Amino acid sequence: MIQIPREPDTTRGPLVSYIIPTYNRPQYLATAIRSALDQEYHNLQVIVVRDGGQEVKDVLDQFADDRLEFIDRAENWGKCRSLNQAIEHVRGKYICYLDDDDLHYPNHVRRLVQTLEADTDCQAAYSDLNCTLVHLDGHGNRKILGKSVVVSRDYDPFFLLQYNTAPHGSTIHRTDLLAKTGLYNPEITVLIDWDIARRISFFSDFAHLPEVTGDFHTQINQRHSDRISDMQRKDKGAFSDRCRKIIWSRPEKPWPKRSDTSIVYLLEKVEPKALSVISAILTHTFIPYQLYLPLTAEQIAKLNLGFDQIHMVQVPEGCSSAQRLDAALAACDGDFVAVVPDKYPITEGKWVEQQVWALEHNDKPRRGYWLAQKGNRKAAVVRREELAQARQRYPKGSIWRSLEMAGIRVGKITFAEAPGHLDHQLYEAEMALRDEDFIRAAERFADIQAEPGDRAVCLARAAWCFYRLGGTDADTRGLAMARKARQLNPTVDMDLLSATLLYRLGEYEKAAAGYEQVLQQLERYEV
Amino acid sequence: MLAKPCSLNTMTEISEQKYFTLIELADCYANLGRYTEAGPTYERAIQLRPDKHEAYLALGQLALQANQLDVGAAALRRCCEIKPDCAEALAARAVLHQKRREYPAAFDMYLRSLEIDADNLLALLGLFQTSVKMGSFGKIIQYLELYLDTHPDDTSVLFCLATLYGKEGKYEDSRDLLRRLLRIEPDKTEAVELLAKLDGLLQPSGT
Repeated sequence: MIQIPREPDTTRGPLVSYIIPTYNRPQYLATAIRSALDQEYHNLQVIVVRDGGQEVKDVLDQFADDRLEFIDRAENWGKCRSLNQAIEHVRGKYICYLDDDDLHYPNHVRRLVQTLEADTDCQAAYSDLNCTLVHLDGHGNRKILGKSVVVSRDYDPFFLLQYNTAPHGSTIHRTDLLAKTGLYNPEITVLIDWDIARRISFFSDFAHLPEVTGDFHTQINQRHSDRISDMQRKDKGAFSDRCRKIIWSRPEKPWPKRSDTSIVYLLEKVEPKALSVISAILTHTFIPYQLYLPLTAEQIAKLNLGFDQIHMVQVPEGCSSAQRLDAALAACDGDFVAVVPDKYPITEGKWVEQQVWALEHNDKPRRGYWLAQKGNRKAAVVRREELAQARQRYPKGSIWRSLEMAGIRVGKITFAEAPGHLDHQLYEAEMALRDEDFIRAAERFADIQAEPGDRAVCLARAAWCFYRLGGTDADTRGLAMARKARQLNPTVDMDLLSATLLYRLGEYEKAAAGYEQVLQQLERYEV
Repeated sequence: MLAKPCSLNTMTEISEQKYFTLIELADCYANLGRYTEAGPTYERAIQLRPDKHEAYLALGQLALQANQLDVGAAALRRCCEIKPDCAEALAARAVLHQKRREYPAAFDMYLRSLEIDADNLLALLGLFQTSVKMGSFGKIIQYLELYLDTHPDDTSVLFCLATLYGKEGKYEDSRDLLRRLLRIEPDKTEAVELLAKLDGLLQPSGT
């Protein structure tokens, strides 16, 4: 299977292992391999794995380079198993990835290795990639329409729990991290890069290298997309299931970079409303957690949920809420405990995550945070050890009374305590927008200073707000914003908005010219 | 070439975006007086999305403006088939009937339009004109009063209502409205004249 083995060269920095899985895209593979072999950083092991599909040996034969290794497998196992197979052969200190239809610029490995070999605790890093928009004709030929950096976001561990800012092709990590994270999960066939990045984040922060080091290709005519990830997204139900699997992944502890939360749901009866709360917790929670349900033996017999992250704790009949919490506390091992009363309505994400984050980053002892109050139902997040002590010292009081007696101050989370500064600003702007306070929303969006990609989005939002506000002054300001946004990231949307604003300002000739240009652009995207 | 249409992900979205762009482009042409380009551009939008009502409405309104009543009638009828509660289309169809001197039909269409959107000034004024032609003022008064609740300074509606009050014999109410109007727009000649006429009517006999 492995051909041309080679000893690592340690004279020019640590060995880096490239993994390039390929399936049915021989027409692009040579470009990908060439971009790996042409790296300014030479100490490489480049492993190409053929995951079944079309033969690619003739592509490999074009390269007379002893750093290249080829796993030639006729059977299609899927990308995760292909990556795992390649990982068995990895000899490098670091692993980086390249899809068979993408490419890296010559600086990619050199700059990322420099980043990780510098004075940092990070064991993983990512760079920025150009999103190259291509049109694919019926013969698989790609025509490049344009390229731009669409994500350039500094590492934010909270954000990574929900979204992937470290796409596979931009990532490098230490090989030994995989012993902690586990290998790629073959049950997850989409967003596998998010899955591994998320698991890595339990053990290491990521360093962000804000330099463009490669291209990934995305197709405008998705109907003809050959990308497996696009096909995997077509079945919405299956896609959601896989996303949930990613969110529920829990590598072996200890986790130096993540906390664990035990959610104790104090349901009283096994009935539809209570079950819908359990379902909402499973659907909306994106931090690492386990759910504890203190139930009687009879209730446990009724409830057969079969999820690894749900633990049923048996309690005697007639227990109070506080007693049921005590039973759950004895069983759980999270750093934090979210106490959720019966029928507490959960309708959206971030119902508990921000409070957990705030507590994790609050050095003061005896603090807790209320979750959003729903009617007379109070829910809160506190440190497990402090809660357990409070309950031991004041076992007869209600849950909230025992916290109070133990001097644990439960308060509302403030904006400053919630995760992500940029996200706060965005939140404020979005809230102003929700309240239809367009002038405040526009100004908030316009004030957000961020990387060019994000800044363009914020300016575009500001332009839309001015458009919604209306009137000559707002239209003029909106036009200026739209033009600035377009300079940072040219989009059809901003051209269209500019034309509309010109129309409203009575500049019909200019507006007509703008609309005509937009139509030309849209017609090019039509296939 | 632009880098990326950030909110355009599917062909349906592109087609929708193109549809509205065509309408807005045609609106531009119409505003520039380039009617020969505006009409075909609306028609391109209709070809692209014959299931949507906006382009039919715009084409109908353009045809009305150009006095092409048959073209306008067909487009507006189709618009109402797609979106029966389109107040603007109903008002435009009323205008069409009015132009054809079909006052009862116009009156009915204006009323239907105002039932959906009582704030439609075009329909309100059209209803007033039609009422005058037909000599039937009961319903129009109610709509004008409703409109004035939310637009108390609209002098054109103040004048219409004052006229109707006068025709109904509510001279004091009419005079109040005219005085209110003249505080906002002191130079409105027709209001000054009507007020003088009413003042004359209300003079005690023998003086």
